[in-house]
Amino acid sequence: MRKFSIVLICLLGSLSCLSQIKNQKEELKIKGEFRIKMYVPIHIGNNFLAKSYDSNIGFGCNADLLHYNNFILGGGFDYTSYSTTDITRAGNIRNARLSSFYGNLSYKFVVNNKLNLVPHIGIGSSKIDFKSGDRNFGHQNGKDIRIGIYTDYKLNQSVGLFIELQYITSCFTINTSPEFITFYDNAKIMQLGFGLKF
Amino acid sequence: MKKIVVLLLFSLFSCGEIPYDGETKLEISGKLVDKQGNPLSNIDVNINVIGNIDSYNSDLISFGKTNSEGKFIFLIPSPMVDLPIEIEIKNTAYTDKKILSKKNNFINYKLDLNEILLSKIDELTTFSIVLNQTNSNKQIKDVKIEGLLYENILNLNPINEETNYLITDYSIFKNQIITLKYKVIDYANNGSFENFQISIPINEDATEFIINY
Repeated sequence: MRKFSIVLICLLGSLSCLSQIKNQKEELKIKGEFRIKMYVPIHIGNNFLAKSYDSNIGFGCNADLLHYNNFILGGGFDYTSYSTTDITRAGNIRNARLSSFYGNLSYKFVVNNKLNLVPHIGIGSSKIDFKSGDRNFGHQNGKDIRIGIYTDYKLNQSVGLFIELQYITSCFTINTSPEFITFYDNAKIMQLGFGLKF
Repeated sequence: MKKIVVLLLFSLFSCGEIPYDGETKLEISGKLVDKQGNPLSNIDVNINVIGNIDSYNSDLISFGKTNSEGKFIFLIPSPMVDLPIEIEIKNTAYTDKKILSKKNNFINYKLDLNEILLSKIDELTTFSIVLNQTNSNKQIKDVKIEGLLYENILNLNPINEETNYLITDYSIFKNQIITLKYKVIDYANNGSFENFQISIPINEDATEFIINY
């Protein structure tokens, strides 16, 4: 968690510096902007989600609520389901379902009238439910930190399309034999997504 | 009608699902070998969590095969209740074997069964002890066999070693000499006892040994 905090502070600092360069008029606004998205999760590393499961298409939503200059504060929810491929490590359990609630801070770079680049960082709370149909086989809780970028394209004043590239690193609570702790206590995910903004 | 409803409700709640802790993974490992110590690859191994009849159904919580070195490693979510975890080994060429464990057999969430001996069916025969009590004041105790025995079911938590129940039928490897040890207590003579030690040759066929006491 300390590592996460240090990374988060560094990133916040970087965004803050960028904002000072622009020196725009300071203005705090509460305005709802919403995103819905589909994404392809690509798992990296030697961990249980990467090695013992196949990921399916994920879904997510996000709400940007608080705007200060080009800074945006919001939050969202991601959901990905997985099919078990290695029963010896996952157990005879058909699926894992990863859900994550997060808060994020973005900064909007206006490229032109149609195009914005929006880098963002966030921290969240993750939960993996292990299920075979309706049968529950317990869950695993964790925390995550995420960094990514939206490329927003305005279709009109109220609707836009976006693509997102995001990297998420998660740490999960686990009690197991020492040899397998590092296998079950983390996940590293690259998400490539697209969606609608309105 | 009321009785049927009550019975249905009772069976619905009494035969429930075993709850699991997804944040605790138990490791079960071992190596299958034959009588000569050769590793046995591609043998089916099932891991079952055995529910008790009154409360829980059983689950096949994991399964797989031994690798080329005869080894297997399974990681399973830990049952939240202390139910027996059965390691079931099945193969048509070898005799089936079951090992029963509980959570107290795991050290650091790990149960290492080391080498597990499997036998081909034609390598085994049976050895039976017939107890012929001729004197009601005498009791036989502590029957032990030293030799190459084969246990189809191995319980890592024996029920109660103080019980007077004697095992009289054994699965045993052919062509060996075993040593049968037992104690006869004579209650008519202030509970004095005598120890016996007998060597018995085991051939191809089933062997029966009568103890008169």
